This record gives sequence, structure tokens and C-alpha cells, in this order.
Amino acid sequence: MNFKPSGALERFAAALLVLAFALAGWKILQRPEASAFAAPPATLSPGTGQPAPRRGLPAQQRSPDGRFRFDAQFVSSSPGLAVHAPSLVELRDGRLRAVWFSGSREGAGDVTIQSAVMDPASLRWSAESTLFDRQALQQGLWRYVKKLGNPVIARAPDGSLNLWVVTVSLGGWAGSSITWARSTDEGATWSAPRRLVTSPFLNISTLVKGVPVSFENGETGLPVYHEFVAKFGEVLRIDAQGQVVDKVRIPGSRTNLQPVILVSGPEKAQVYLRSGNATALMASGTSDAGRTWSPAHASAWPNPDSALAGTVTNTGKQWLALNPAPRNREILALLQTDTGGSFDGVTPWIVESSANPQVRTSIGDYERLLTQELKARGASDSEAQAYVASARRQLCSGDTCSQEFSYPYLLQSRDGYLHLVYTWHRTRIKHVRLDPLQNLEPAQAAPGHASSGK
Amino acid sequence: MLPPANDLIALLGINLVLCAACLRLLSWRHGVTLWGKVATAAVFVLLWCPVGPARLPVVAYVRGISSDLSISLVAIACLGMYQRLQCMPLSAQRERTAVSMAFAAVALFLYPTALGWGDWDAYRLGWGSPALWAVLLTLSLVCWARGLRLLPALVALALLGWAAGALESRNQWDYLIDPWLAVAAIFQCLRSALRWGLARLWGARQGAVPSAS
Repeated sequence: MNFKPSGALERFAAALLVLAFALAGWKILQRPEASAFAAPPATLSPGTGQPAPRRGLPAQQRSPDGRFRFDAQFVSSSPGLAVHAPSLVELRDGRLRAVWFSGSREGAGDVTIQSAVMDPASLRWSAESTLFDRQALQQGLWRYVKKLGNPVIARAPDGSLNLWVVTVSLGGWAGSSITWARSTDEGATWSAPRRLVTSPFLNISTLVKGVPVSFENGETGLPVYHEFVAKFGEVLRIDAQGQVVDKVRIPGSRTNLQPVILVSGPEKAQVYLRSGNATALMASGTSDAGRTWSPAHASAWPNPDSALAGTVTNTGKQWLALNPAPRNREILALLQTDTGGSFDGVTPWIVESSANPQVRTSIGDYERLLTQELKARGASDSEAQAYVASARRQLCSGDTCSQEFSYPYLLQSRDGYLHLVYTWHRTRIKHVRLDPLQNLEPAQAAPGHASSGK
Repeated sequence: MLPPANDLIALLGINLVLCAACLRLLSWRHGVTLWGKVATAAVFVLLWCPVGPARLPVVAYVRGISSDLSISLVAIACLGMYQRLQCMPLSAQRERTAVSMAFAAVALFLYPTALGWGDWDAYRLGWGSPALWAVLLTLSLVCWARGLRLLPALVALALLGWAAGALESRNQWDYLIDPWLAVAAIFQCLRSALRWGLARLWGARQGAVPSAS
């Protein structure tokens, strides 16, 4: 063995080697330790988390089974387009900002990231605006981008807004990467987009859908999922500069995706995942603030390979929004349980349901149903026709259609209301606002399209 | 408008690797000619030309497909290009074999686990694991002691790039290796193994033939 360098070039190479390892070692020593989850919303004594009373608003709608009431309105306003994957954030002044993707069809080159803002006093959504299109992302990322997908918006621990967007340069959705941008003016303007690097294999196949969580040290935990070769859930740790500093795979989730994290304490959280092979809602947990997760296991709820959402309210209750029917997305429901409790066996709050989820709807009935609700909510004849045509294109085959209420996203605003946004028949984004502490009434009729309240 | 530093470095790296590949192809049979040098320089310039509605340089479209290249691959490409342009002998065969074997082994360890083979993910080590640092140090010292300089130099450049945050990734693996380098390394190893196997087979057959005398 001979370590002694001979010649000037070798001495230079040896010096380079020493310098490289010294700098890398120093950088490794500077790496922040993983920390606990940021404190979950304070648990209030019963009654104190009651939302502010409604004033001067239209009558509430009754749920399909008649057990609870809610306000509902459409968010998106682009007749004829395919819309999907909404997410939601509360602004500092109490308004809500929703983002979703919209285009001629899912995966088309003309898909853009749209946004609208809701005034909580009137429950009216503003006209939608475009946050990012493919060209803007290409110019900001300095690379070719083929298509855009799911956006997720959330408040960062430093108070700014983060937007993560699925972007594809190569292949289908399995070729996705995550692009992010930051806004310091509540979403009016955004920084140049940057790419998160999450995989060594051409940085492909990481997608985002779930609500991020915060850590005490100012980092963000972003639930993401991988689709290429195998499907599994992961949690990215992202530092205050927006860079990935670690990621943890959820073990045993080889066919599962789109994790949703519900934090129940500084070190404890549960994660729920969509079943990629349409079996059951999958669950996992951590008791060390996400450093490790338990192997994913099936819960008692079926999952028709559809996305879910979750949040923890200020009273400590945990909520999930999901499609609870085993084979389709024709029912959308909320589940509620106590902090760290199980959702198995709880009674669902049905938000939307087709009249008969086991049977596809004839085209005539489908058009009638959609037109009726669109017009009731203010769409003109031509707008309703365009919305229905878009839904037909995506959800009808032969002479039948499947109704779809999917891709939910949940948020509790500071006034105590629970907000649910979701894809309505792939043609509009719908917003539901409800009081999570309301008294439930006895179940009434069989599920059907939500009827107007009295 | 100039791109941010991370993007500029990534685009330049892809451009240099494409130029090195171009020069190698053009000098395949007759060595480096003036025509080959001019063509390579033209490729370098053309790749910066803005095209399409987004007015992105051509190399940015390549980046969409190739993703960012590792510092190691860019360094190997630049070294090869420099040696060809200077009409210098290429690196010694044992240096190239060591590099190919090391990167092939890393690829077979890294990519399957990162893509979901099992629940353990080797890619996690790249975000500042002391274990990866120690393994790289040991590998570099062993190579250096055996008189191999290329692999330690590539590791040093990759670590320097990582420490400086040269690429948009913050993961050491992305500075050390990329799938294109992995494929090339595995191909070189298979080719060497095939040659070695054929030579052994040929030698055995020659030895089995009875002497004419």
C-alpha cells in the first residue's frame, strides 16, 4: 500500500480529496436533527370550538341521509373543461384560497393550475385565475414539461404559502416529479418554480396529494407517493428553504398511495392510504414523529382505489373524507373519530351520493341530474350544457354513466367550520362547509342527490 | 436571461456530455479531425439556441428527459473529451475498470431499493448520512493505496459539488451517479466479463489441443 502522492498532479488530487471529505463531513455535521411534530391545534373544552353563527346566507342543504346540514357551492367556473384535484388553504384575513388543475382533459398539454378565493361572509367564490401553465413552468424550471397534475397548497411554518404541483416531463403519471413555488402575499404572486429532487432514477415518480404537516424545527412533512415499478407512500421532510432533507418510506405499502397524515401528538400520528388495488383503506402509524412508520395494514373501510383527505379539528377530533363504497366513487363521506382513535365502525357522514351506487346511471338521467343541480346553482343553459358535455366525455361509456364525487381535501378554518372541496363529476370543483359540532339528526331517506334544505 | 446557477450548471453538464459523445462518435474510426472539432463546437453552440413557444434552449428539452446528470458523469465526459482533443492516451484500463465496477455495484445497490424493492431505501443515505461518508472515504483510500486515482478524484469532485450545492438536488447520490452513468458502467462490466470469459474459453480450448510435435 502506498498513500504518498508522487508528482504535482497527484499532490493536487490528494489535496482535493482531503478538502472534499472535510467539507462534506462538515456539512453532514450541520444537518439538523429530525424534530417532533408541531403542536396540534389546542384541544378545547366542549362547546368552545363552536363556529360563529351563520348570518345572511342562503338556507343550508341537508345531507342525502338527512342527518346533518351544510353549505355548498361550486368553486370552479370554466364550462366544458375537465377539472380535478382541488386543495385549500385559509388566508390571513379568513378567506379561503382553492387551487386545482383544469384543462381539455386530464394530462393534456393545456392543463393549468387554477385558483379562486372565497369570502367567508358571503360564501361566494371569486372568478378563477391561472397560477401556472405549462409554459410558465417550463421557463421557470429551465426544462421541458409535458403536463401538469395535482396541486397542493399549504401554509409554511414561516407564514408564507407553498404550492406543490405534480409535473411530468417523461412518460405518464409514473414519470412525475414535484415542482414547488412560494408566495409571500397570500397567493397573489408566486416565486419562480423549483423542482424537488426526490428520486435518484431520473427524479421521476414522486407525486403529491395529501395535506402537509409541520415540525417543531420549522420543517414541513409532505406526504407523497411513488408509482413507478411499485406503489408506496412516503413522507418528505422539507426545510425552511423548500429543499428536501430526508424522506421516510411507509413500510408494507407496496400497492398503496396518496398518504394522508393525522397528527395526534408531538410524536404520534396516523397515516391513511389509498389502496392501489382497490381493496381496503390502508393505515399506518408513528410514535417517533415520523422517523419510522409501522407496516401498513388494512382498515375495516373499503377503498375503490380513490383518494382521501384528512384533518384534525381544534377540538382534537380526527376527520377523513373518502369514497366508502367498494367499487366506485359514487358516494363521498366524512368519518370522525377521537384523537388517535380508529375509524373502524364509525357512522359515515354522507355528503354526496348517487341514488343507487350499485347501478350506473343512464345518460338521460345523468344529464338531467347534473343540469338540475348546475342550474339550481346559477349556471345558464349554455354553461350547464358545456359542464354536462365535459362530464359525459369523462364518465360515460355506452349509454350509461358513473357519477363521481372524488379527490376530497379537508381543512378547518379558524372560525371553526370544516371545509371540504372535491371534484364533482370531473367537471366542477365543489365546496362544502359544515359545522363539525352540529347535532346529528336521525337518518332519514335513502341516499340520493343532495336536496335543498328547507 | 441567464438561468439560476443550479440550472446553468445542470444545462452546461448535459451540453458537455452530449459534446463528448459527439466527439467520440466522430473520432471513432479516424481519430480526432478538424471536422470533428468543428462539428462538436457547433453542437455546443446549437444546444444553447432557444426554440419552441417557451423559448427554451435545446438542451433544456434534453434536460426534461435526461434529468440532471451527475458530477461524475460530467467529469468523465470532460476528461475523455480533453484527452481526445489533446491526443493524449486515455486513462489506464485498470482505472476505467475500477470506475465501471464501482459505479455498476452502486447502481445495483441504489436503484432497486430506491424504486421500491423492499422497505429500505438506499437513497435516504444521500441526505447527509455519516455511513455513506465513511464508505466513500474507505473506498477512496483503498483505491488510492492501490495506485488508482480516477475513482477517488471523481468521488472528490462529487462531494465538492454536493458541499457547494451545485445541482438542484441536495442528495449526495445525485452528484455521484445517474442512471445514464449506471447503464454505461454496467455495460462496460458486462463487456469486460464477456471478453474475459471468451479469453478463458479460448485459452482452455487452445490448451486442450494436443501438441503437433
